[in-house]
Amino acid sequence: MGNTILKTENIIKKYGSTTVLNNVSITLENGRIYGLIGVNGAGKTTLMRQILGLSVPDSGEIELFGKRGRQAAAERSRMGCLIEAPGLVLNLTAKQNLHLHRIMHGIADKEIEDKLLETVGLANIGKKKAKDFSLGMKQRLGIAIALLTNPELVILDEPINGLDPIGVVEIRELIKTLCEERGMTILISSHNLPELYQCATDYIIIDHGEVKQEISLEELEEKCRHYLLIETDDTGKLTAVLEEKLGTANFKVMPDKSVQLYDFTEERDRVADVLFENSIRIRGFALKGETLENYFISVVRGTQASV
Amino acid sequence: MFNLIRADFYKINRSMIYKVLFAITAVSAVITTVVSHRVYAGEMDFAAASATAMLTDVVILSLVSCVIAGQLICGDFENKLMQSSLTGTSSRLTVVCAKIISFTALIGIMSLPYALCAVIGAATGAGFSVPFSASTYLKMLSDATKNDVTGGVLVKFAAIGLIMMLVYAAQTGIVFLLGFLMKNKPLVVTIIGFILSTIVGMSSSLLDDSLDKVLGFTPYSADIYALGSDTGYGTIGKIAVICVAWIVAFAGISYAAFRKAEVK
Repeated sequence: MGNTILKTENIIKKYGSTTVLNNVSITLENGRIYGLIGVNGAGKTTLMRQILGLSVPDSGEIELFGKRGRQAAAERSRMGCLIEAPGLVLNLTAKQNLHLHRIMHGIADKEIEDKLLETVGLANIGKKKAKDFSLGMKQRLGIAIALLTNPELVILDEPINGLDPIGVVEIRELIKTLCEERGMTILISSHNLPELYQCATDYIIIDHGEVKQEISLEELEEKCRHYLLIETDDTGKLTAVLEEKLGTANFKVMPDKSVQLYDFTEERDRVADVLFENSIRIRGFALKGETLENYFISVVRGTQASV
Repeated sequence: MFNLIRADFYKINRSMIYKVLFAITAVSAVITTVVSHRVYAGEMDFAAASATAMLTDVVILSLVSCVIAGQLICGDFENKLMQSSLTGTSSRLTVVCAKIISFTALIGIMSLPYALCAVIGAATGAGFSVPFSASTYLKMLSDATKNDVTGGVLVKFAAIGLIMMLVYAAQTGIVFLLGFLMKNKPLVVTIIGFILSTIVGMSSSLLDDSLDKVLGFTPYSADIYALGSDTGYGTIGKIAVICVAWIVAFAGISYAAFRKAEVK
């Protein structure tokens, strides 16, 4: 268990009569990548904005790096962010925009501008002004700005929006590197679970302003694991055949005596043949397991039990 | 706060709009000075001169201040730099304070052409009249024509020049507040701000004597437009205190409006 660097407790945010965040409590440990996932309008950006102090919650507490209230506000200098779109002056180049933010944050290290442009793949764009940037280039520059202060917690709202497939892979790898090599904690939002699945170590599923589930990658993989469900009256003989004839121990005997076989999910015919050849009477034989999307939908719709 | 002010001026140095605004004030200052001289010399009558009345410091700096407020404050909301300021080390109070300092300094820079024209005009020894009412810089030129320009008078003119910077910043304090209220609508802030400050300015000249005393405690005081070589330092000091208090009050109201506002 790492150190807790962010904790929200029962955050409530209303706009008029609409409750956008309803008792949202999350905890982030350092050195992990958190995927904040929810459909459009679920409350992802609103939650991030409360954390960053861009909006004030109606009630609830935010603890940052162990500090609360006014002291927590001072800790925001240890955070970097990209919310919706980056803060750019359109008539400035990428380097000038970074320079502007460097002045704003009082960072003395001039070399960091070139290093960050290199990191996000904008080193060779010359004097092109931000107004002529593609959406992807703006997002990359936004990520560079978010990293300018070498933050311990980085909050990225839909950072790969507008990126081409290669850009998506590069930014994903960058996020992993920042976490693994620099120990940064990253909270990244998306409405696309398979996309987050490529990099996040933990997931926070939010819907209609409520946190539906917090789940680790291991737990998610377990939930979404595909397997062959085999039902028979002679579980002992079945497991023996699986071990001896198919050479696998990657199965689990369930309380109802059914067997979940995690190998050979793509070679179902072969498994069926082996069971038939060994005279095992089968009552049920089916491929089971959730896709990531189905799992997400089941959580959001409330048909999935909490972890 | 110093970092935010530096960042503001980094942006301003690279922005075309501020250069255009400075060019407008420079051209307007030169035209009004030349017109003032030509009227004094009898080369132009008052009727012809009145066509350029819209180029006096009162009108131009009022307009320029509204555009500056729109750009400096709303521009930052529009391009999300306000977000970056707040998610860094800066508190909302720091942001408001930095903005009011940048705003006042910019108005000072924009009023420089009028001050320079006044200094150069006085130094040439040429004669100037005041064809337009309520132009402090032309009043100074006219004073220089009527009186000997001594060191003491020049110091007083310099002090008046500085005070005028505060006066214009104070008079457009309401636009500063509008910027924080309307956030990412620079054009609306500029237009509404200009209309409001013009209405307030015009109404102040139409009010009766009893309200004059009240206006004496605002940056719309009649004393301001009578500033000249004959003005005592006590009056100059009083105007300075009123303007600073006015600026601080609007900064305070702006902070109150911005303290818990959504920043998108």
